[in-house]
Amino acid sequence: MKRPKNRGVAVNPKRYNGWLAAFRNYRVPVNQELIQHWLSQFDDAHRDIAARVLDSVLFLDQAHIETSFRTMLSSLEGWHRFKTRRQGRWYFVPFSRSAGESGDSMTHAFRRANGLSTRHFDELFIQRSELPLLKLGPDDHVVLIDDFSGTGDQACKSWADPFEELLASGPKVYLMIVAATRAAQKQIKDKTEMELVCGQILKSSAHLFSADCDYFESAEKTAILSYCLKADPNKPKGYGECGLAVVLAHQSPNNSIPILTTSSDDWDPLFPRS
Amino acid sequence: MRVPSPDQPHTIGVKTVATDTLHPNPHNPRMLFDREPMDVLERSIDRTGILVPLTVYWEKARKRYVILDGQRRWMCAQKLKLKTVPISEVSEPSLVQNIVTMFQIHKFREDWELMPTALKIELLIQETGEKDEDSLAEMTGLAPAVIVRCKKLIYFDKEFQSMMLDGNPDLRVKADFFIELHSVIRDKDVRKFDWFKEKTFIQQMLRKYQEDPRTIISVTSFRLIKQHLTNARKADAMGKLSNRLREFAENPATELSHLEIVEVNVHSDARAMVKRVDDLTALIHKMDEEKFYGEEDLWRALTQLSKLVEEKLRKADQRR
Repeated sequence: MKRPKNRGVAVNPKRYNGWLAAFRNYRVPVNQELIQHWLSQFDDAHRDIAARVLDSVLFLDQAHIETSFRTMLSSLEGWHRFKTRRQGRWYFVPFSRSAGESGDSMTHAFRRANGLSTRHFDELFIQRSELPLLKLGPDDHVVLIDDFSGTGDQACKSWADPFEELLASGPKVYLMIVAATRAAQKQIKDKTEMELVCGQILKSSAHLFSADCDYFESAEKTAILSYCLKADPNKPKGYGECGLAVVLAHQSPNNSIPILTTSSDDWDPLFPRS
Repeated sequence: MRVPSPDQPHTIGVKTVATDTLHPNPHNPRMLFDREPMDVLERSIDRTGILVPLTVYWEKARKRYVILDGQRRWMCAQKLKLKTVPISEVSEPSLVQNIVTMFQIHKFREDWELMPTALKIELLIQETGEKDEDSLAEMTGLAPAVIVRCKKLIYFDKEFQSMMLDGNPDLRVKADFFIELHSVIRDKDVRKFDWFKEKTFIQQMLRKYQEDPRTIISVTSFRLIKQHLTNARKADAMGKLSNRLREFAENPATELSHLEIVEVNVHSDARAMVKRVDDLTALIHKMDEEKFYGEEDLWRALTQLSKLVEEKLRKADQRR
């Protein structure tokens, strides 16, 4: 979560330009009209709080994601672009979905970021169903690629079924994620045998409704929550009650607060999930 | 901590290790054990301790004990918070030995996802060279019918197999979809259709199954397609069906009924049979067994009917 502007700062063209510059690359293009509409859903008395929520959105654009992937891969011991200089065998697998979802699009970003897009490197990028036949051993490495983990629940479930069984022969397994909360980091460490490699760890203060988040006062948090209830009465703090204000260029995590992400009869989000 | 008293049976060559130093066998991560037998076992262990040591091996690569046999006992020990468990250590099995042992110990359950099992069967085939279904069934303890289903899944590209392995069960394509589809794409006449490209056809079927307007609503739709193929073959109308099947595949909105060719339509026959079967079922349902106790001809006829129905069901099942 980013530090919002001070209370009472005018919502003027300069502020709009700042938001537009930050959010322009969302998969559903964000323009001034959409921002105005989004703000108009708040009562006049809460318009300043709404503007500060927008200020606080941590928007991870494609360039950030690719830089992150580049840094993370270069940090892995034993990896090298040249096959002859790698330690053991290396394979990269989309983690969250077989095709078409974030794991898949992240793999494309990962390849671009690390200069591995040419066909020469195709053999490194495999389907999960190919893992057992490879009989990978302790000297080999599998990097599971994903974008975000809010609670770690889905990562742990996916490890338990099917990845633990597919990787039973015992290679070194990394879960490479652009961003994750500290809670997710802990859960993945405690409940799986994957080593989490994460571009950005979100502290507990990233939870907008937590006591650790001091960007908003208690009354402001109550007001924000009332709008979140309009957007999603069942999960007003987002999935896992994470209360995040995180958006990735290709998708909003379901852990982010619903006023940012969730469409309902009573609410139009600025960063709708697919 | 439960420590065996001097009066309790003494096991020779058995070690005792801390419960939390053991790891479940990753070749069998599905810890789906029935609650009732587990409760019985837990009560027994609570009373007498673990009498039969767990069979474990030392995994050299990861420097840890892995359970080969005794996962239920280990889970009970964890639940009872036993600090130590008795183990009998054996040498580390090969990959094939380990997989086969897991199959033999943890019997296949209908509610398991089939794809991970299919991948292990593929690995066993690769490692042992054994392709025969009965031999693989004997080796693994799986039913031959399960091996047949696994081999159908192995047939598909890795891209499609991965769709059955999604970490989110809600997004997984069911193995039954591909098992039922297999009989269509492997049909000898379908493969001769000049327009037929297997991968494209599979993708088209997936789209019709997953996306609105969902013109394949059930995996059993493929049985109907197969039926249309068989009937068209008998009526020498395969050219016509080829066109219809192409249109059905290419147009997401085209319904399955598009494949019904009037002259070979057996639906009306099937509907008439269902009506008669329903009538007979109602008659048998109302029958008072005691009243007809001595009517040997009736019982003989019913026995023959029962056998015939079993036989027909079995044959229909084999065709799938």
